[in-house]
Amino acid sequence: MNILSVQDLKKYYQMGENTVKALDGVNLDIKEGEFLAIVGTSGSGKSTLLHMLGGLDNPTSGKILIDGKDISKLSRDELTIYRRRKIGFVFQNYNLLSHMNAYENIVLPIKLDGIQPDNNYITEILRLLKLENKKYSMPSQLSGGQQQRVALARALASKPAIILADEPTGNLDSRTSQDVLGLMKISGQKLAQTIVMITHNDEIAQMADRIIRLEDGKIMKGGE
Amino acid sequence: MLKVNNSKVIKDLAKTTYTANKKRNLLTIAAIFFTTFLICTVISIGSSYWDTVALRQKRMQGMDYDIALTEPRDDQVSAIREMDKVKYAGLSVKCAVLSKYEDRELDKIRLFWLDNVCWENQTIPALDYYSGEYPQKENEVMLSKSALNAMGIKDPEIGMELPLIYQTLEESSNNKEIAKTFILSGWFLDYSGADKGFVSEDFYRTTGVHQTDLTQGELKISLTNPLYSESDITEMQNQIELSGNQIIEADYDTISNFCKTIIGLLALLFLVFLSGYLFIYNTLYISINKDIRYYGQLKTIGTTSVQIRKIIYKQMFWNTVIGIPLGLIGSSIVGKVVIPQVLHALNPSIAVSDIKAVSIWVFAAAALFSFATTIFSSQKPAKIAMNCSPIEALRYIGAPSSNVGEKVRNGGDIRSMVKTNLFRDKKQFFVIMCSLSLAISLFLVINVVIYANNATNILNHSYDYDLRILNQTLLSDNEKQAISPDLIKTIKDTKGVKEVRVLESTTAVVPYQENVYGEYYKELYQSRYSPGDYDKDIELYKKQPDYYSFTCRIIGIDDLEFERLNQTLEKPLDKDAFENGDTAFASSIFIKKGNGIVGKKVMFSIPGDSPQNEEASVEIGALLNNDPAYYSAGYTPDLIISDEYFEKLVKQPLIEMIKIDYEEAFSESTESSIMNLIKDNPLVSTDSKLSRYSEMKNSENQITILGGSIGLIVMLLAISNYLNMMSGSIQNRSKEFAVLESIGMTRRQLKKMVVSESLCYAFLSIVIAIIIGIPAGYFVFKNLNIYGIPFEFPLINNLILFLVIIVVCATSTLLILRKTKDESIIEILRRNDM
Repeated sequence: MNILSVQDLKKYYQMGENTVKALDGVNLDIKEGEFLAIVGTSGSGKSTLLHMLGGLDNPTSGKILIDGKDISKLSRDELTIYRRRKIGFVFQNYNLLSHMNAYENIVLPIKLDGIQPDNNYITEILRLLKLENKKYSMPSQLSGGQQQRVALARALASKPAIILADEPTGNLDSRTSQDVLGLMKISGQKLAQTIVMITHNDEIAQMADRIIRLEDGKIMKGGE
Repeated sequence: MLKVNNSKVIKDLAKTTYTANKKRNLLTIAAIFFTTFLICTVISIGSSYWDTVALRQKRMQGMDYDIALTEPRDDQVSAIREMDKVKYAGLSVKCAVLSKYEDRELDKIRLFWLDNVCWENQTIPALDYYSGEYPQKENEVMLSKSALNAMGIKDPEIGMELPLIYQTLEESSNNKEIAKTFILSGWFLDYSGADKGFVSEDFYRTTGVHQTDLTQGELKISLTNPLYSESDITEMQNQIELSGNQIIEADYDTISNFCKTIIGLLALLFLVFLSGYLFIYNTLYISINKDIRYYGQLKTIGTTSVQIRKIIYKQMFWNTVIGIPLGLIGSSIVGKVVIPQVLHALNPSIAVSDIKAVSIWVFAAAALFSFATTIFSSQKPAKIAMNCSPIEALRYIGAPSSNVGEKVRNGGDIRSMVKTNLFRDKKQFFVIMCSLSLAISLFLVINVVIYANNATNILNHSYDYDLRILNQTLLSDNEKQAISPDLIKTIKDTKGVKEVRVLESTTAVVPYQENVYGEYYKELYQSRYSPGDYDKDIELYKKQPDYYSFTCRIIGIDDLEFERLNQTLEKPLDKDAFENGDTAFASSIFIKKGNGIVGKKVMFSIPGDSPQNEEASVEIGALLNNDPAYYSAGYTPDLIISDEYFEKLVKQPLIEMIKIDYEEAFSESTESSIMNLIKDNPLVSTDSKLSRYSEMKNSENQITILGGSIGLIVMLLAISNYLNMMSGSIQNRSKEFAVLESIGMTRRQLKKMVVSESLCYAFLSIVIAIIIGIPAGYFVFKNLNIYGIPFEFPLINNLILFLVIIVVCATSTLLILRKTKDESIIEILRRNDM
């Protein structure tokens, strides 16, 4: 069963007199529990597609169906709540809140939903991501890799149905990268989570169930 | 090292940065505009306000002079006029009183003769206006508006005949009534509230009064330097040889009062400048972190610190070049066009050109101050960016807090986020708080100043009634009950009347009692008011106790008046004892100290009225500084007893006056209803707070407009301070809000968080402003309170400001947030990453 479905998705930007086609008629179906890797060159539209899937950006045309529901029909707040409950997002540049410590950053989406965080689960994530000692550190006190792990922990903490990750291992050494992906996979299997991940690293992409390649806003390979 | 010519690059870079930060620069320009506008407008309107208050003060005195020499001799007048320190010395002699106009009894309208100096240089400047000419002929008279009102003349005409009865104040005249038809040569309005008139020199000569007669003649002296000390006065005294009862009436606190006023005004000015400074500083400080990161970026590509500083200065220069002229233009428009037009509309006699021009120095000071503040405040991010490495600058997220270690917090809910957000940069929080609270404090203080100079407050303090109706027949040969019990009842039942206090009075004979008044009379005969020779007079007193000089008035007061008088005492009297006639108040008009009177039992009798002319007695329980009655008798202190006791002693008690208080002070409808009741009663006169207020209307309108404008401008400053702070803060945090939204914070939650934050700022700054503003207001009030009115916090105005601030904080935050809603999250994130 498809959890995510993209139909003829287009995102055009106007840059002066030129129209930039970031996404140009993308069609994509992602099954529940599937681990999908998106690869492509810089500027191929990978991040734009991921942002569209997460409802962070508005398409020029086309449809994005999550569980059969067209998310472009949702209001901004409905979309936010939907994202909070259904999606865990890992940004390439982490997007941690600088004035909150690691723990506060991680539990924020859960608390925003009015729910008390499952502290045992959080502790386990922190242990797996080797962040036990950094629980109360401020983002400015963490290295790039540690910040990326906090961002990943934040995405996993609310046990979302879909994890959208933009280069989640970009700043990690190969050992930690393996651990992180392992955790994502285990978590994905345990909670039947769907994972969509952007990566440059072919080795990492190979761990996915399916790989799609984007070029000039179009899926060149793996779309079916 | 070779000098590299890169000024064009720097200029271009500054230009690019400037246009990229359009919104932020708008806020900075707004802050510069408001600060320049505030300083310029508050100082220029403030000085007009102050001039008007000073002019009103002059008009309330009815004459403009500094000191006065009583009973001056001609040689003294010449000597004083020769002195370098003396600007003007004008002669004023009180020579007669008007007691009746047609069949209407008058409240002793005093007639003065003024010499030319006194009229031209000292009286005219203290008048609201005058019509006609100073009397030249023997039968001419010029009267005050209030005197004409008392005579029932609403539309006076120059040359109209006034059949009047007057008494001269010549010592041997025995108050002989003289009928004469005067010709009205003019009239005038001052704010003294006194019924008075001016007469010609020819008339003055006919009265037989001399300028050297006790309490009649005075030489009013205006000094070249109105700030005089006691030694200046002593020096003057030494040069003119004072004789007999002569004194120089002077206020030796002039210098200290002046210093107090100056300190009060300086404190106010300091607050104005400080709040202007903090407004600009705060606006620039809000975006400091973003600036530092940006300069860090520039540093990474090789821009030097000097170049960065140049970039900053160039941008700030452009901001000041826009903001300062706008502020000056705004201030000119308000000060030279808007306010003069409003004043002119309210009072056409004020020409638009009459309004004092704003001094060029005020403009220069405001412009320089705003410029210096902007340049100084913009140095901070440059300094921080210069003191750290490019990478440190790139990652700059705020001043390191005192606790640089890990923060063991388990927050994440909106409440704890609000708390964290408020205090995340303590220095910034401090700067915002200082700026906001100071702007409100300034408003509180200015309100107190306006309160202290408000005519209604001044009159409420100086009048203990709204309307007084006085029986004019008392002390005449034909004493009558001019205020009947029926009239009192009707007045009490009149709509808008709160209470009516009734005072009865009669003259009493007090036989010489050494143990009671011995010391008092000794002191009186040593004082300036000494009636003559002590030994001779006391001998006469012992032989002839009913001799008029030694009589007193006995005043019977009701419960309401008793309560009112009793509460002014440190040791109030027992009500029952007072009602029973066991104790009484004594008035202390001629005596400063108690002289052992309090606690003594005094014997007295009411001539021809006491049952069998028996002597009565009462114990003096306390001394009153203010005699509640109008009429006086001899030198013996008046006795104030309860009406019950009074009515026991006096067979046919006569009401001297009633004092009426309205539900709503200054109520015109209540006053006109009462005036209607007595309009055909020629035996009474009235004195009303409202009519005094109405006379002051012209200057009061001006004071209200000017004071109100200052208040409004400061209020706008306080509000725009919040607006600037909130929009700056939201602009700076747009990425943070986008991140929060991307991880699941709804717009609703976001609004809740930001509105809570701004409300916290509002509440905290209001609390701090109350803590700073009330003592500061009290300090300024104490220094500027020339009328001695009691301190009161102007609650309503301040509550309005507080409410407006709270509403503005909440709504403006929502409006500013709304503007960002059309952008997608990713657009905002991307824009901020650039």
